Amino acid sequence: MVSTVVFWLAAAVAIVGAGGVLLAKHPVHSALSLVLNLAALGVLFLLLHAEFLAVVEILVYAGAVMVLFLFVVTLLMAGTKTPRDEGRFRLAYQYLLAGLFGLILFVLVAHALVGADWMSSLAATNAGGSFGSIAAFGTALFTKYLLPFELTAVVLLVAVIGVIFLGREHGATRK
Amino acid sequence: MNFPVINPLSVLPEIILLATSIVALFIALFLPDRRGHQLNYLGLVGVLAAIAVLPMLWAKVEVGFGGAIVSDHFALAMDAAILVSALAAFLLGLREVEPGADYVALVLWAALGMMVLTSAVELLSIFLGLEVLSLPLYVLAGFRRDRTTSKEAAMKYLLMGAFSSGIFLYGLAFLYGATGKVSLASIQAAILQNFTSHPLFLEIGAGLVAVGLAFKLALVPFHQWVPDVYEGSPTPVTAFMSVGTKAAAFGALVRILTVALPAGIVHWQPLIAFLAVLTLLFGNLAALRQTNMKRMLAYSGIAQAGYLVVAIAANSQMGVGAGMFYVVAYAFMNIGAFAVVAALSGQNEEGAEIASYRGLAYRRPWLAVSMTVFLLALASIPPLVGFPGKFYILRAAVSSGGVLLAIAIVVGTMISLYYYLRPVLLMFTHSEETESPFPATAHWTAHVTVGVMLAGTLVLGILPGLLTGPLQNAVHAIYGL
Amino acid sequence: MLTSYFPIALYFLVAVVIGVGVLGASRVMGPRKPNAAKLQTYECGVTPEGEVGPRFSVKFYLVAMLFMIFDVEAVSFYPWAVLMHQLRLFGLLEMALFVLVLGIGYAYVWKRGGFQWQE
Repeated sequence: MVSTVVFWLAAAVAIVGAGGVLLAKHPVHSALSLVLNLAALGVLFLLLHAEFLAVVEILVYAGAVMVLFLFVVTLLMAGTKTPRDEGRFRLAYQYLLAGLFGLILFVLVAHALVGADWMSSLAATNAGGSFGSIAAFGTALFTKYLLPFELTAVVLLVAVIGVIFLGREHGATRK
Repeated sequence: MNFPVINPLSVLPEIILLATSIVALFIALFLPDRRGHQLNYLGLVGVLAAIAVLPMLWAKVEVGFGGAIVSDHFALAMDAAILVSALAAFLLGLREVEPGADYVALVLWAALGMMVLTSAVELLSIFLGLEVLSLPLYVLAGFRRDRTTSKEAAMKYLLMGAFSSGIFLYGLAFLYGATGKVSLASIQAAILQNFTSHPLFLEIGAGLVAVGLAFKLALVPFHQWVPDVYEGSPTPVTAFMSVGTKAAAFGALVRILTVALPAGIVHWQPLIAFLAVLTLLFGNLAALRQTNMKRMLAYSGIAQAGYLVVAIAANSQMGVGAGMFYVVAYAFMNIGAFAVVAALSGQNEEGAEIASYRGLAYRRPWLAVSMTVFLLALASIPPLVGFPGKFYILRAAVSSGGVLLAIAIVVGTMISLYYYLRPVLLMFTHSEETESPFPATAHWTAHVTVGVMLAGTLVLGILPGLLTGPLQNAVHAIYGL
Repeated sequence: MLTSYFPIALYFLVAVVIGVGVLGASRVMGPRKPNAAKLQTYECGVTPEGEVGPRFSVKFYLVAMLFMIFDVEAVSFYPWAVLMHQLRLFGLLEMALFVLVLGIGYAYVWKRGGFQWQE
């Protein structure tokens, strides 16, 4: 019962956030709306028993990725007088393409929803019990997917060294 | 809890590279900034050590990490080509890039990713291998940050590369969605026993995987980034990535397409054959108009990838063996050509214009003759290594009924003669100019690289049998999964 | 299951209330008398010409990237912490390798002055 209430609340917040991303005039407001949307998605993941995804959604996406977004937005806007720069950042046929792809996505999702076998999907969700929990995720990550896990460390290390090489002020340390 | 069997032997070369990179970074902590040139030799030692353990591992197939990665003959043969190209990155890097710990570590990681890509047999590890391969190369392409072309190369490579990784991952997701399995052997079993959710998912997955890797292999029409990136990147990096990336992507294509997705059930063959023909014709035609040596070699690299992919399109054991031979042949002749370009350029790419090669044979006979050999090998003139390489591919294409593919190879080779022979003629044309645009001397390591590649080009050209025997084993290894 | 997340929800609520409350209070109570000179970009007393925005250092971007990378690393600890006792020595060793690989990156960034604002 509680979970139904939480679902509707989170769903409403997610839609409001998504709408805010599109409709806000100021890019910073768009980014902040995205934070709202991602936080609500985190709650929805929690309702689906995907605890680890919920944590990642909040910590990494709503946290770190959004910080990056905000910095980039600020960086790009640093030279402009007003944020609503009469379509300077607009692509050609933007509305047409967005509408077209939105329609395609809507048809696909609607098709999947209409054709879905709800009862067996529900059974599949409940059957796993602990499926998607942090313990189940960790067990898979640290045993079956150990190699990908350690490779992730290398990917992150490459990113660290790459960022420090490319981001350093040129000439400052290369004399 | 069931802990997987790790079996460090299965990833021994990879462990050596990772350990070397960590030691390099650790030493750099105690060095003042920009005093890391000697670390280049450490990288060299690491790669040589990794090469040294390959024959030791040849004796036995090692499976590691609970079946996520295998060290079979196929993986080891590809590892050899990859490690040789990494060697070139270190040998040629001393003059042009001012290598420090970052350069050493990035090259080692890229090689590590390439090796994982050819030996992983589980979708997640394959994808992470591709990422470990790609990310360091984006940075390496922009390693000369004082040069606009280098920065442009890094930016273009990053954008196109990120895009292609996404496509590749999407393809893997479809394969997983169709079969519910992540290991290639289980995917193959599921397909053969018809345990798939939807046949269309398999086709889409195979197509997206092929397109994602086609970006890395530089196949037409996914090649637009190649000329700018090859030209803008420092020459040692270009030599490394042109060979290493192709070897790795070829390995992944063979493991995923020809082995895990039987062509009789999943119809990826026409797509690959189409890409091959397009690449052969366009790559060779576009190379005709180039005036810059690195750009010419970039388009030649596109065309060479076309020959390589014909071997996959043949979809036979013979084809895979021919492709492997060609990867090794390409490593020798292409790295050799780039090594000459690097030996002729100092800090600032003086050796890049083809026109400046006029009369080179009278000023720098050793480099001019070597370059001639490499270009003739790329044009597959006997008795150099390019000839048996192309002959095996042609034979594989014909024996699997790909007459059109064989015709495309012959036509492409004929076109390529023009642009490979033009610099050769120029080098032997007497020029009145006494002023050479090239620096007077090259670093000794560049001469070593040219020498090693020359030896490989000649020996394997005359005695291709040295390689075909072991490669036959490798082919059996991969099909015996 | 959801009930165990109630404290987090409560914490979230308190955080939102405090954030909105502080901003709202200053908006309601603070004096606001903007004029053209106040809103102009500060340029040592000289009237600025053309489009002028605030200066924004690229270093923020570097900081954000490093934050994101180490944030992803931190998230990997989370399932390990939950399973620490079941994974025993095996888990400790694999995490040790993970930390060693990233630790050397951390030390390298430190050494190259990646955490310093001034060079």
